[in-house]
Amino acid sequence: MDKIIDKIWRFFSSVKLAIVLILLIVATAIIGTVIQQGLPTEMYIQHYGESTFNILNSLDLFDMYHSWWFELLLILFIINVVVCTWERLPAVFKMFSNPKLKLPIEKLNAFKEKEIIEYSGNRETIINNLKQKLSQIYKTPIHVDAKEGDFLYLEKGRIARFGPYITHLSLLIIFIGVLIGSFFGFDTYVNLIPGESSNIVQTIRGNQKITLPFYIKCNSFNVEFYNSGIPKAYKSDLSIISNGNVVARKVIDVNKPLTYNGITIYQASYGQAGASNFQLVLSNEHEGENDISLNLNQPYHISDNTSIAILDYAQNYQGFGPTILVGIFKGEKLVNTSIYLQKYPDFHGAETIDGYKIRFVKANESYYTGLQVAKDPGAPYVAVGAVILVIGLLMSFFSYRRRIWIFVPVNANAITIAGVADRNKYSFEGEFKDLVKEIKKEVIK
Amino acid sequence: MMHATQQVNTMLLSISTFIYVGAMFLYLFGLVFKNKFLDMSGFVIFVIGFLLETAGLIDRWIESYHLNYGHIPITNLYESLVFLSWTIALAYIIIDLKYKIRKLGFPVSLIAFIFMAYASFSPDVNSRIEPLVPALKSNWLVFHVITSFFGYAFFALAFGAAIFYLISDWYTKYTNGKVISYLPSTKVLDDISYKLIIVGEVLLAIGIITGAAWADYAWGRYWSWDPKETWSLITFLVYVVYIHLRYSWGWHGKAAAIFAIIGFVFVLFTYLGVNLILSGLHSYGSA
Repeated sequence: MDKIIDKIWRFFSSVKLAIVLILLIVATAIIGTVIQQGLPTEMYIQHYGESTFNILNSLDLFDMYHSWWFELLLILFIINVVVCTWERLPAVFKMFSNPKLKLPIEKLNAFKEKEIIEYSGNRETIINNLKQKLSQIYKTPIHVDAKEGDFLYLEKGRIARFGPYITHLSLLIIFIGVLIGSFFGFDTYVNLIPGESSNIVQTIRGNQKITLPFYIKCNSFNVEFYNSGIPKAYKSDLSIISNGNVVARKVIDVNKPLTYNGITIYQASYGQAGASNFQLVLSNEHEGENDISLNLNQPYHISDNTSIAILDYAQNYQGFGPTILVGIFKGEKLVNTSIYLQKYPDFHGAETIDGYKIRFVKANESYYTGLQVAKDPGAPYVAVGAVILVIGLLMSFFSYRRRIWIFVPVNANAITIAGVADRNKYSFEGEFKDLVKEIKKEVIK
Repeated sequence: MMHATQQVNTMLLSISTFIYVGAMFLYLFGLVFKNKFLDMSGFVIFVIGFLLETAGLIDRWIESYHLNYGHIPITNLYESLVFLSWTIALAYIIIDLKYKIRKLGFPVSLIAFIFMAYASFSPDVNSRIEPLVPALKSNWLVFHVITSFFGYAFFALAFGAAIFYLISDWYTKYTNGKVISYLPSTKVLDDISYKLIIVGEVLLAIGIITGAAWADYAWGRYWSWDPKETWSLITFLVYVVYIHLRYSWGWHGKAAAIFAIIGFVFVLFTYLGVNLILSGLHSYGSA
């Protein structure tokens, strides 16, 4: 049993596994950017055909980022990262609590960065001068007085050794935040027409209904456009109603949400709720022009016996632009229908209804506001994790540990300077050379 | 009047395009004729191109206020191409002043020129100043775009250094191991390419995080697997692999250079491919 656990542990402590998992995540994540995710089933069937659809669907490729196999890959990756970190961390701590202050001369000689300086003069004075000089120009050395000679140990950039572990642990924090969010949070939407209120919202994935502990009321909605027709701003005036009382009110805007009791309401979109009010001009040879305003299906009496009503509206009827369908009634009975085009007022020529000409001026469109209602108690953890991630990266990348030993043996008038860097060997080469130059200046006066 | 000023910034930017190509030839001749004076002139000309480009961007920024739009010029394909070449130029000038890697100017001016030429001369790229849609009206826009683009810029420079590495490597072999002192040494190029990549990686991480923070602030959802998000994560992970191969297996030299080049293909797809080929939140409107 222990053997199996040991095997599993070793499997997860490999960097090779991490590389393989990352490459798998990369390769599969690309699929989801090529196949559009989360569209209605019919669209996929239309595009791929029934049989291809069935194959792709059985692999969850239409919602692949939430599929069991993709989530499994992510979880394996997190376990891998945590195990790798756990496995290597003790060695790093040991390195700090117990640094190798002295090394045997053979080891020093084996380093690539190495220099031997011969000196004449008093050994003790030189060691003391060196200590002083190094503290000024590099770092205060740790002095070890050993049997074979004196060692001056210099170490810089320790912090860099922690960087990778901090980065890796930040992934765990982010992952915990994601889990909290997925268990205790929700991501929903609701569309409201001005005046409407609701406490029921719909989940974005899965289309489930959730009941909020309060009502959201849309008092008004306003959209402004640039001259080019691109929306400039859209804002909803919202009230939060709890137990019949207005407990909060705010005009929300894209990028300016409203938060109440940990639930945040975002201005996500808007749409046409259809036109419900229309402006017409009725003209008659005797009475001249007469502006009227009609709601959908609202009858308007032209004469005692004849009335009209707008039965339907299309924003763009067969490419002719805004169009209304007008019904002509004798008493209660629909006797005729006719279309009127906003862009082509002369479409009907001289045709009249009981002597009246109708011109369709404009439809007053009404909009609904699209609100996103979300709660994510995990988000702060993700944010903290993200900040730690960046700190870890900065520690790992912009610092590196390098160690230098200066050995002054008792039995020879030569100083051995040897150094090694964990990374950035090339930069260290320069740093080492500069340091040797300074030491030479100090020793050979 | 309004129209005339808008022409000033596009004109300045077109001129800087030509200046970059001029700098590129000076750098190239500097390499071919092994002439330090040509290198120096290339650098001076490159800086002039950069200053003109900066002026063009500033003028464009001011002009957007005259049009009552008032936004930083990084919001459509044209502006983003110009801004990317600007970040690449600025990053190069800074690291050249600090690390003296002048000869990198050749690939850098070529890359800066290509992005500028695409912006200025492609019939598909519209150079008009356009108003911001409501979703983009946020201070996060500035942080998110600047960090992401400087990330791209450093990857682009690393790509330049990697290409140069391969040329230098090939040339060294071609001349039977006689090191051509005039080309930067492969060791220097390998080291520079790696350092540029880690800077790019940190900036890309910050770019992704600011994007997520913005999305959370605007929609209550920090991650939604939108193609741009996904591709930026993919790119980040590709360089994560590069970094681990280097740290854990000591990959360097030719293999690392080839990896840096492949990495930049991912950067390019994240920056342009996603917008031009795939659909999603980040599409550049009329582009």
